[in-house]
Amino acid sequence: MSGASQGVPAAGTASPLRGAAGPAGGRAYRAWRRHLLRRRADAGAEGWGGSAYVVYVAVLLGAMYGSMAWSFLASFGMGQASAAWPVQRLALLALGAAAVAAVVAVRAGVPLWVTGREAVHTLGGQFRPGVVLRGRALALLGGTVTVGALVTAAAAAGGGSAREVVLWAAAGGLTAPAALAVGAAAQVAVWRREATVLASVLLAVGVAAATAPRPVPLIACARVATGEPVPCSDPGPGVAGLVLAAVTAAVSCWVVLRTVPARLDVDDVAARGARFRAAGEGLGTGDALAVSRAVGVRPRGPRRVWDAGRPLALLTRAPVLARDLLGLRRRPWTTATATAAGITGSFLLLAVPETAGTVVGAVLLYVAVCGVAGGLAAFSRQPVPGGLFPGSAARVHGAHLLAPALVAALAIVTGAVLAAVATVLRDPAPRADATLVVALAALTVTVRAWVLSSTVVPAALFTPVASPLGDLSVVTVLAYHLRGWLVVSGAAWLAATAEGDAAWGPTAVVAVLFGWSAARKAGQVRE
Amino acid sequence: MAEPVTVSVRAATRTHGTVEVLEETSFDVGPGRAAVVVGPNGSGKTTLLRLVAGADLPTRGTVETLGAPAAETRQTRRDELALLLGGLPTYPDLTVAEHLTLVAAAWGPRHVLGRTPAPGVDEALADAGLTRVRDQYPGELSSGETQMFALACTLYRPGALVIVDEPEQRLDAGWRRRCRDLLLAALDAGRTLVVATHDHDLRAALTSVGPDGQARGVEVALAAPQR
Repeated sequence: MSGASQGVPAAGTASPLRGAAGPAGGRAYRAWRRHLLRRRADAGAEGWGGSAYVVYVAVLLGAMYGSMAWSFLASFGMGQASAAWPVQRLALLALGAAAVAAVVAVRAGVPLWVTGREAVHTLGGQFRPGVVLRGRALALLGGTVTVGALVTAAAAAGGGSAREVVLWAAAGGLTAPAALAVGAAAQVAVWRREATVLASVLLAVGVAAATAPRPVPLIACARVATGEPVPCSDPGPGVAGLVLAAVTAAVSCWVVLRTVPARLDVDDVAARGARFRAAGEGLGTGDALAVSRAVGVRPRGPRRVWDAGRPLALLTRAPVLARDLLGLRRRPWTTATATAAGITGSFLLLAVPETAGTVVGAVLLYVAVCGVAGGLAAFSRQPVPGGLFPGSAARVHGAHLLAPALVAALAIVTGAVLAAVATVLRDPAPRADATLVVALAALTVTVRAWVLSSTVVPAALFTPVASPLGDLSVVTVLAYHLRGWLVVSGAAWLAATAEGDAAWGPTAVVAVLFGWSAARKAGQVRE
Repeated sequence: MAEPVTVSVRAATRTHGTVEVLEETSFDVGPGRAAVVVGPNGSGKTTLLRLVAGADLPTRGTVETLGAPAAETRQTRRDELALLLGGLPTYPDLTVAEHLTLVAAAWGPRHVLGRTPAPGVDEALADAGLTRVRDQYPGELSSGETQMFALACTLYRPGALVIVDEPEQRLDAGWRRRCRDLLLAALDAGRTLVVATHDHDLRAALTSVGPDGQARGVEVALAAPQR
């Protein structure tokens, strides 16, 4: 694709664009971009009207929910006796969470984004990556500083004086770009691992700081006017804290503005962004597998596991299970993460029998099943599911459930051992119902099969649903995409809050019904 | 005594809405013979193959395979049907060779292709010209290799009736020659083929005189659609 064909002036020719002075300078890029936006506006697609609408929606949402968020954060204010989470604890936790979120967002081609057309011209030598990225990096830094300052100020406003709130806001605003810098660094391939580790460390430190016992007990002060005892206010971040925040901000700005743009693979970033948009559009138009197609995991490990001359015993006796286990072996990180999630979920189900523990445990088990059901997902995507195997498609479908069921069973056994250890170490002993845990595990497997048995949103769900809040069809489509999570968490909540000890019965019945529905759909002719 | 018939299409038509996508068509194919469906784009080749595969029902007429209505055969005798209509049912985390190994393991002692036992995986890959990419994942293949892999996998799966839609797609001259050889080998092994194609050489090969002195197959020419 040539620049001239896109209406961009070729190098060495008289430019029709005002300000297009240098061959690769900032003015040339800005002029090119203005020209591009003008053309889009003339074409009526994503022009200034689109930008104005985005600003309008952002302001509207900020006005509607900003005050609510401020009040919520203020409820955690420092020094309040009712708040166990003062601002210095929240700040570290928020910073770690933001850094992890920024690293995860790299898959979507952000925080520093590049369009496909910009990548073409950048790789063609027309613009330097830094010229393309400088403006949006500055905007991101400004936005991050603003959000960091506002969040920290809101959290500090609950109990501090105006001076302390300002100091905390300054510290928060200066520290927040660190999360952006970690995310931007993760966009550079050679730094991705280090950035991921750093983000994980930040989150771990944040969690440790937030959950650690307070080192100094609150000293009660008294109101001058009434003599009523109140908790003393926090002294604020202090000079050392502010200096540290300023140094962090400087380093972050240097990373985002100078280092990352010079090393960024703009083609890769643009491709990630395009995949993310395609996945979003696919979800919006009803393709439930759009995301998994866009962010598929590349298989790893040796490629000659099965020797055709010496077939493995499992391969000849249970070929589908052998295939799925090989698939798990070729996705080591996904398998390890899913297994860890399953063990944690089982532990929560067995050791924390309260409602929250049951719901979170069931959801974590569902995470595990989703992670190890790659064979089932591949089966669901096939044009003629199970067409290479003998027997009915329903039989092959059932065989694909074995691997998730085995992993769930392994997770339950390991979780039970951990829960038994926890029982020995703590008092009182947990009151978990093991049968309910097994029933919930079966439910997660059959619900996953049910979800994968129908990968296209029914057209009827796109029918507009009028309500005082507007069209709710978007909500119904979203609920359809999240139906597995909703069913599992809802069933777990109902089981945890049910009266009596026989909650496992209805859960098992529901699991069987979902499994039957999935098998019935798998057996239908799809092509 | 009447000859046994594997595929019998009698005055079958298919209409979508107000458009007749397949005009009235009739033909019979015996075991070990081929039906080569030819015609311009839009003449209903793929529609006819879907009817024979039992994936769709005729608006008028009848389509029978293996002695029963095609839709019933698809449900009850799925093992006898090897289909390559839209795409191959692959797994993204298995290599090319592992797909064939999986097919061989899944069918076990029943892994017989027509009258001959199935060849080994390496031999089948060599016949298809896929030895070079035997350890590649399906997503790593070129479009031509993907098509050849799909054909090789479909023919490596047992089934008395093989239905293939335009196997020559995206193949260069060398690959097309291999494609013809694979289909001829399946035909000569006693399998029944229903193939839609635009390739004159493939059409000629599948309707040529076979080792028994009779024509290997019949040509089913579909009329051009009215535009």
